[in-house]
Amino acid sequence: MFEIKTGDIISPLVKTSNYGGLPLEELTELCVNRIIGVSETAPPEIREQAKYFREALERTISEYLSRAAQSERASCIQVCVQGGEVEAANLLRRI
Amino acid sequence: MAFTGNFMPTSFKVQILQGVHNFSTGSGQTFKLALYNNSASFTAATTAYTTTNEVAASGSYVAGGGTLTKVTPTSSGTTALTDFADLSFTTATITAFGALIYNDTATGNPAVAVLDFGGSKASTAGTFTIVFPAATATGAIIRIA
Repeated sequence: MFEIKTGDIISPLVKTSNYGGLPLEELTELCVNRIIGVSETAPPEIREQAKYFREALERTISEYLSRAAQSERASCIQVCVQGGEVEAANLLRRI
Repeated sequence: MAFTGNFMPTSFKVQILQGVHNFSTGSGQTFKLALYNNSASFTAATTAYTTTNEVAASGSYVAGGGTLTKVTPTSSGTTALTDFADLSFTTATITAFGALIYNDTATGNPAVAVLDFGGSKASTAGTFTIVFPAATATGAIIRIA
């Protein structure tokens, strides 16, 4: 006889924000968590390596997310300017 | 009534054996996640998606919820698992206590998983993101060992 078990469902994490999107830091954390994870029972040297890799990833991802946000904003500003919405463009510039 | 924990519906377990669900990224079916208020009372006996007690449409959240991006089922050790990408609803004013994952392709929108957020989660004209646990043999949202 074979028994197949479905694992207990682990509660998802819920992140929310008010009057805007999630901050860069939280997005970076979510991204890094998707890329790297290390078991609590892993050998200390593996955990240490993972920790340094994670920190390096965080710095890189944070930098490029920031650039992506700035790039997208610049595009939005140009769309506003070309559409004659100068006030909207100015509001976006102040973000 | 209220959310009382996470559940994998019994009907879903039966449907796994019947081949009702296909989580593959290419040929697979569409799975959705709907959000609910604290009047929802889902249990292991829940069988399908319902509009009752679903949160109101707001921002990018629409009735029926959001479509989940699947991750092709794989294995870790002797455990089979599948996962979904995190799901975000933007510019949304939402207060939710839990969610239901369901198969939007299969007849009757059968339930896949009941998720209890452990309390009220709210966004006001903001982003509401559901972050799924790591896709490991002990953490993935759907696992068969």
